[in-house]
Amino acid sequence: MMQDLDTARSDTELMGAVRDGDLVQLGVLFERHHVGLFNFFLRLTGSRQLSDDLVQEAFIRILKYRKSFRPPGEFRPWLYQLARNAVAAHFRKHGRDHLPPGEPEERVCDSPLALAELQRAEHARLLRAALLRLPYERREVLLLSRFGELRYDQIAELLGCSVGAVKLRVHRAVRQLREIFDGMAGRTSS
Amino acid sequence: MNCNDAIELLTESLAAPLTGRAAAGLTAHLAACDACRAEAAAMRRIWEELERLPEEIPGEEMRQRFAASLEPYLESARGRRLSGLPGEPRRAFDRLGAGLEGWLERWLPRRPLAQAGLAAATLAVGVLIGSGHGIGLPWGSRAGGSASEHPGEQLGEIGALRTEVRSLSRLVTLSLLKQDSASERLRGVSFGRQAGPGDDRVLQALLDTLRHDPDVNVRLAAVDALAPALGQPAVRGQLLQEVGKQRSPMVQIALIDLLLARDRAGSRQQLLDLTTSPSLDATVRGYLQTRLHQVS
Repeated sequence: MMQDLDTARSDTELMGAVRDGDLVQLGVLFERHHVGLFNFFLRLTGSRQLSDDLVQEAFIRILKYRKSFRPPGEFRPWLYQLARNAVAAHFRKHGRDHLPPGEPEERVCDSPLALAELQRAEHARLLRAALLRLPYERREVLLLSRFGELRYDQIAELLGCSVGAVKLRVHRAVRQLREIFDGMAGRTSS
Repeated sequence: MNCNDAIELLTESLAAPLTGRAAAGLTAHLAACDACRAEAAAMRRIWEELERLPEEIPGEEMRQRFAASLEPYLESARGRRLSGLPGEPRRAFDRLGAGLEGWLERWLPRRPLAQAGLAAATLAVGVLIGSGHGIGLPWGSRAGGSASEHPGEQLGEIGALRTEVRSLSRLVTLSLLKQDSASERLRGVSFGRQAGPGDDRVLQALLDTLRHDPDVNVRLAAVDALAPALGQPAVRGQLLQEVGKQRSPMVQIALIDLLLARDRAGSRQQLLDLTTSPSLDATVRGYLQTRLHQVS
């Protein structure tokens, strides 16, 4: 009886196999996580090209540092630790000045959109722009929590702070995002 | 519970639902405190806005870059594995490795489930061919009885392998269509399209995707993938029903275009009936009337 080879194995099992030399399993992990990671980087930096590079860098780091993965440790916090390290290395080398100033790069859409879909697209554009106007540290903690699907205790370990501090940062990030977003939406509609 | 405690619990509840005393305490505080209730509503609103933020799909070249960057590591790993093997077994592994490499190049960027399945199938075919040519892998279970002495048996095994690969293709499609990520489901639709119109389970999964997938791009891809099966009355009937049921005008218009382009005679009357349906979006109705007029 054939098993569902992809979904039957957890991320931790797959990463354990990669760690033990079965590198082909990294392809499955790539398929599972590259879109999420790309969106994490895109929302963090606002640059598609940079996000593309950072996804590659993060997966290369998985290969390089695969021996440091310790099953049964969870894969996702470890992945985001490597992702943060990739971003930090990029900033050390290039600084943050070249990041888009609060306006995400837009994909050109050449298909006709119905009015409701145009409104949804505009709404999403404003929210992405508002995210990019958050201070970097707040944006990062919000993205890790909302889109990285990490628990507060896992984020606290990543950031090297207490769980209480993470909650405080998330609360402040949500509040500030709301203010920025509402302000932008108000200006747009007026 | 004071307001600071409530805000902390509120923030905690964004990431995971509260239970027990914490949930009850927060509910009681919010019922009594207007400021915290307003703060809770505003926080949850922006949290939900974030939830609805569409996922961006990276370009296809990302996979190609990743496959290229993985290549040297795979090469190195294979070299290490083979270094201790002599003669024929090593060459057999070489062939298997080359097959795996080619498979990786073709499939890794696109089809994760197929990778594993095809690797298994490749391995099985390799063992069959190997035994047919007397390679004699050291652990071979067919020692002294090569497949070439039993052609009927060999054909049977190859037939079984084909069946297995077909079953894997279906498995890939069905599994990808269940993924949370819209890009994964798009790949599932694409894989289902390649599987052809002959697999009822794949067709049913594509129809389910068209009916229920929350992402409009996935539903549009499902319309395209179902096109080759339009000759089947059951499929055509369901596509016609979906013209009236879909929430997105884009999908409705894609369905109209498909039905009129490929099945004008069979679909025209039912589409004509739809133009009088009060629930049909006005824009779609206008488009449908124009297209029907054009093809009449």
